Amino acid sequence: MKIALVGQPNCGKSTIFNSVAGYKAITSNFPGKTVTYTVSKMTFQGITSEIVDLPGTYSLTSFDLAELEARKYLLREKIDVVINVVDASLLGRGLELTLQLLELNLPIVLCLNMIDEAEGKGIIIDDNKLSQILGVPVVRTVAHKGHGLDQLFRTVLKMSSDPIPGKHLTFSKDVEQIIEKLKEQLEDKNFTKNFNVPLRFLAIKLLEDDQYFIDIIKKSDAAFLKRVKDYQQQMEQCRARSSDVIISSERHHLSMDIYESTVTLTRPVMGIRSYLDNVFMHPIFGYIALGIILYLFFNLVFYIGDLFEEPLLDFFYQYIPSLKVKLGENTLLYFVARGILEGLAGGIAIVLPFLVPFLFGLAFLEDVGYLPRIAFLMDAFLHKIGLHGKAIIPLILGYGCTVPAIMATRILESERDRFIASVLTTMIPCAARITIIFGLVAFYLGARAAMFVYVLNIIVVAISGKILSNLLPEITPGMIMEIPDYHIPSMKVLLAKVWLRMKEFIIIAWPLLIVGSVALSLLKYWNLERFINQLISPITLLLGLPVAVGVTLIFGVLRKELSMIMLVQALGVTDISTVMSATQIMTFTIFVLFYIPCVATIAVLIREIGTKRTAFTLLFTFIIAIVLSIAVRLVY
Amino acid sequence: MSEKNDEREKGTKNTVGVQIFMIINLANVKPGNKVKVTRIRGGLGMRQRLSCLGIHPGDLLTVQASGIMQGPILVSIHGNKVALGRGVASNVLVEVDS
Repeated sequence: MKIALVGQPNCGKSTIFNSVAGYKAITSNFPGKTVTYTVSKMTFQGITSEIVDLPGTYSLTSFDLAELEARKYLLREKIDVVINVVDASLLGRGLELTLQLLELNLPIVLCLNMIDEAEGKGIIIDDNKLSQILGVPVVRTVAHKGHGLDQLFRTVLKMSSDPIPGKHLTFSKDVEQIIEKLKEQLEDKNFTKNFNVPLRFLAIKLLEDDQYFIDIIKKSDAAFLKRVKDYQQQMEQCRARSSDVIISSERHHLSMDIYESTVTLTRPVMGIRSYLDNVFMHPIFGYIALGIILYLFFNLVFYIGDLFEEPLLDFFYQYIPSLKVKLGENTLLYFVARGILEGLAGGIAIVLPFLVPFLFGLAFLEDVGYLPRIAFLMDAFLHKIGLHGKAIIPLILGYGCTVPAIMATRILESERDRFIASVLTTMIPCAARITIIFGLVAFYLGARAAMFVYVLNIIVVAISGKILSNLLPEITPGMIMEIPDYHIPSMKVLLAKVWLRMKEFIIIAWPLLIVGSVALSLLKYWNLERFINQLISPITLLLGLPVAVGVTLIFGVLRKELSMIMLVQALGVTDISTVMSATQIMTFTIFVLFYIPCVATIAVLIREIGTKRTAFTLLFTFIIAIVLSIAVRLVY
Repeated sequence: MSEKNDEREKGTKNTVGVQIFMIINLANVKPGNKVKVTRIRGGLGMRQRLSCLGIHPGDLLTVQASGIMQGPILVSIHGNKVALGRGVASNVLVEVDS
């Protein structure tokens, strides 16, 4: 059996998915974080089925990439039951999608999620009546607390053994007549084979001027397209509005009618949450609050990381002398053992202490719902570099990991905006590079120097944005973004999210760190390292760095934190400040921060923006890295 | 008709009362005011994206905040908050009581 979770963005699909599939899909409190679908097996009452978490879609008429993905999946796959998740506090709007799902003739279970939030807002829903009107079962849930999920899946099972499609609700008479006429024409044409959708759905989509269906008609039967246009015009003449507006407002009115007949409004409980935005989105206090929050965030990460880094490093390094004695200084075995130890030490002592508090803090800000507020505050600034507010979301996620951040650029509407945002995202210091900033700059040069790196980075990103948008002059479509309510994050979800992101680091990065570290040991043992360093010496000499760091720059392309961890090894000391000056440490960090992104990023860039543009990105960031590092060498 | 005139086109005068409606664009509405959407300019894409978030002609919305330096407009509509960039907001024509 195949179950699909369908609903508008930020209504809790992924939360429901995670509660039955284990924490596999990242949940956050901003619309549009699920950009591609996640599939999992689940077992309920002894029956194993496949459940898929689709990206949020406001409607089934859409240009948005994530939404298109959801629609394609719905039309292509054979789905047994659709769970239509609706944010109960936004029932009126959510029903617009429900009406379109009903037109697809799929067996639907309507899930009224976040029912507690709705009741807090004074929205009391008569679910029996709603179920009668739509002809589908309705279940009330509070997914993040697990309430009602049992009932939900019991209803789904019942639906799958005895599927009943819901009712078709009808629009105004004049619109219905035209839909009927077009439907008849479509029936004669026998288009169903090409589309695999019910005729009524197809007729409505064509009247709405849906590009996807129009294009297919254009290709297969251009003459028929003229007839479709005639019907569109007929409608437009009647109502003096364009046909897409007519259909969407018909749907809107129908939804509002259903909403009004099933909802009783009572006095909302005005919590502190409703006043928070008076500060956080205030034209002046909002920016002050943003500054304070970011300042506290980075200081806390630094404080916690600093607490653990040194004792952990000391713990690992205490074994080096005894290894030397036991295995003999110049033996191959000693080099390998030392490589493993240094790789482990790097992963545990340098990366973890900063990564864990950082990911936790980011997860907290995401789940509370602060990110869309930042987008609101930053919109005016982003317009200056040719983007709009929403672009801040991939940029902020970039501080975690560049790979999902680049995928998050899909929330942007225009291809150009996605390209510019992707390039800028690669320059944002991800968690791996943050450990370099903390582990090298903050550790040896102090917190203020680390702050300088961050500020410099933001300035460079802004200037690069300006350059790119001048190269691609096109007006950004402008921001249209939902600002969700604040949520109190659950500790369990926060930890699960940190763990999910950590797991990626442990499984992929850790082995790589150890293998890289051993590889460097072996290169040293066979004296090949000098050869590689010689090759890279034009760059290292240009930047005024010790020639020995050359090899670390090569490994840094695999994983950024490798450059730092191997630095210790390449230089053959545990205290870097004894062999590198402050200027050299700063130059090295700035270079590593901007030069070629890691392989995982390159792979996702190729998928999202194409090979040519990826090559451009690599060249662009490399030039920036060289120019900036030379400047730092001369000035710092 | 110049752009300015288009934005400030007067609504119908009620012959019985003295109520006059003014049509202005959403970007010029001061925070705290409740207005009615009359028309959405711009193409199909813009209309659909707005209608997805529940903004249609005829709907009532309240302007909650207006960003500095040509920043976005925050509106609340059907119990939901939506941020609209200045350019988007200037394409939404609304009716205010004056």
